[in-house]
Amino acid sequence: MDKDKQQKKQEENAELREVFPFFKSWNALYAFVLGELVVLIILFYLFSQSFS
Amino acid sequence: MNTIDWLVMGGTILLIILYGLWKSRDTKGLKGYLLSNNDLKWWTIGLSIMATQASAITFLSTPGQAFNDGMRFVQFYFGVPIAMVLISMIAIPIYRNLNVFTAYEYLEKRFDLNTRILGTILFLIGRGLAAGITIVAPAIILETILGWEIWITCVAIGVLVMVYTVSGGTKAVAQTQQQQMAVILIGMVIAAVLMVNALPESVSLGKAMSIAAANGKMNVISLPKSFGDFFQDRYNLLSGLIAGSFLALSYFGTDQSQVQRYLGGKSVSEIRIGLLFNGIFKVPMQFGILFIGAMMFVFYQFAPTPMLFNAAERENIMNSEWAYDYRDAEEMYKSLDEDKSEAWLKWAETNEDQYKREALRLEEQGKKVRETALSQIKKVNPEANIKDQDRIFLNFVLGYLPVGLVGLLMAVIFSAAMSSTAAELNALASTSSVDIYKRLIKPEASDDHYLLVSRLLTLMWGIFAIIFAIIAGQYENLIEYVNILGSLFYGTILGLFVVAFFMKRIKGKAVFQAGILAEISVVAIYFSDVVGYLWLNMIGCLLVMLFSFLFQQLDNRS
Repeated sequence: MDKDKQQKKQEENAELREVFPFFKSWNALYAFVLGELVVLIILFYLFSQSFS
Repeated sequence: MNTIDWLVMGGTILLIILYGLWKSRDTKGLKGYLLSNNDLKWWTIGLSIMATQASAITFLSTPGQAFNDGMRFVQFYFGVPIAMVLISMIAIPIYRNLNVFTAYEYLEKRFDLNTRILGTILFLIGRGLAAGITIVAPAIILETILGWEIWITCVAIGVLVMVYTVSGGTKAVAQTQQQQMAVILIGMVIAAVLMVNALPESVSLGKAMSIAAANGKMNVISLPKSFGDFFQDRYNLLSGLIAGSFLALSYFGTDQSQVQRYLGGKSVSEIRIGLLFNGIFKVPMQFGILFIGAMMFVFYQFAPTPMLFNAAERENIMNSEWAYDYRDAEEMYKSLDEDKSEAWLKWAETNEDQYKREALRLEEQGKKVRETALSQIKKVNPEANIKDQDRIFLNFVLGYLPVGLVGLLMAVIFSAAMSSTAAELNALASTSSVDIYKRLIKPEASDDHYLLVSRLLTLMWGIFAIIFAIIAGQYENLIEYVNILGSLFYGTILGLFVVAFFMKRIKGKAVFQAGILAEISVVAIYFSDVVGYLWLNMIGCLLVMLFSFLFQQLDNRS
C-alpha cells in the first residue's frame, strides 16, 4: 500500500516538474501562489499609502 | 461605427468562431462533447477559466467602477488565489478519481440522489437565468450608446455562440475562449496605452497618478473603519479575503460553468496548474483594468466630461418640464469642467499646490451640480437609471480611439460576452443531460443518443437565454433581481460540497434537509438587510454545515 502511494506521489511530482521546473512539490507551488497574494496586498497597501 | 471598425469587429469574431469549429471538428461521443476527451492543457484551462468569469460587463463596468469609486474593487478578487489553492488541493483529486461529468454527480456518490438533484436544481435556476443576463447586459449599453436594438444584439450574441457550442461542445468553448482572451488582453492594453498617451504633454504618468490619487482613485486597500463597516462595506481588505474566498470557492469549485472548464483537463497536474495560473494572474489583471479606469478619470480631467454618460436618461429629462433647469446645470458643469482642466494643467506645469487645491474645489462643485441634476432626473422618472459607470469606458472608446481600434474594442466586448455565454450554455446542457436526463429520464441509451440530447439541450438553453435576455432587456430591474437570486444560491451549494469533503459522518438525509433549511434562512437574512450580499455565501455555507451536524445528531439519536 505504502509502495503504491509512494509511486503515485513520484509520478505526480515527475509530471509537475515537466511543466514547472522551479517547484519541487505541489505545496511549494501553493505557497508561491499564496505568497504572491501576500506580496500583492503589501504592494497595494504601500501604493495606497504613498498616494494618500 | 465606421466600415473599417465593422470589418475589424466582424472579422475578429468570425475568425475566432471558425477556429473553434475547426479545432473541435473531430468531437465524438459524450465524453468528447462534454469533457473534450480529457485533452485540455493547463494554459487552455487557465485562459478558459479567466474568460468564463470575465463577461462583457467586466470590461464595460470595471473601468467605470474605478472612475467613480477608485481602485478598491480589486479587493473583491483577493479570495481567488486562496480558492484556487484549496480547490486544487481538495476538490480536483476527488473529481478526477470519480471521473465525474458534473460537480453534482459527486454529491450522489457521496450522499444520495436527493442531494444531487438539490444541487443541480439550484445551479440550473441561478445559472439558467444568469445566461440571459450575460447576453442582455452589454446589449442594453450598446443600445443606449450606439442605438442598436436590444433584441438584435441579443440574437446576434446568442446565435454566434450557439454555432460553435452546439457543434463542438467543451472543446470548441475552450479553444475559442483562448483566442477571445487574447483579443481582450490585447485590446485592453492598447486602450490603456492610448489613454495615457492622449494626456497633455505636461502630464506625465506620475502626475496622472497624483491627480487620480488627489481625487481618491488610488485607494487600492481599504480597511473597515468600524464593526458595522466590516459587514456592510462591500469592498475592504477583510471582506475581500474572507467573504471573497467563500464566493470564489463556490463559483470556481461548485458552479458547473467553471467546473466544466477544468474537468476536461488532461491530468490532475494540468488542471491544478490551470487553476493556479488563474490564481496568480487574476488579481494583477483586475488591478490593470481598474488602473485603466483611474487613468480614464484623469483623461476626463482634460477632455470634456458629459454630466451624465447615460444619453437615454439625458434625453428623457430634456423632453420634460425640467429641460431648462437641466440645461443650465449642464452649462454650469461644463464651465467648471473647463476651469478644472486649466487648473490641473497649471499644476502639472508649475507644481504649485494652489492650482491643485483649486482643481479639487472645482471638482467638488461639479459633483454638487451633478448631484442636483441627477435628483431632478429622479423626480421626472423615479425608475431612471442614473448609475452610468457602465457607459464611461465605451464613451471613451467611441469618442477618442482611432478607426479600426474602435472595432477591435467592440470585438473585445463581444468576445467577453460570447466566452461567458458559451461556458454557461455548455454547463447548463451538461447538467441537464447528465444529472437530469441520463440519471432520471433515460438511464440506458447509446452514447450517440446522449450526444444528440446534449447538443439539443445546448440549443434549447441557447434559445431560452436569448428569449429571457430579450424580456429582461425591457425590465432593467429584472437584471438586478436575477443577479441577487444567483448569489442567494451559491452559499448553500458550497455548503453541500464542504460537508461532502470534510464532514465524513454526515449522511444524505441530514445534508439534504440542511440544504433546504439553509436556503430558506439565507433568503430571510437577505430580506432583513443586515449584511452585505457578499457575506451571504459564507453564511449559507456555514448554515448548511451547522444544520447538517444538528440533523445528523437528531437522526443518530432517533
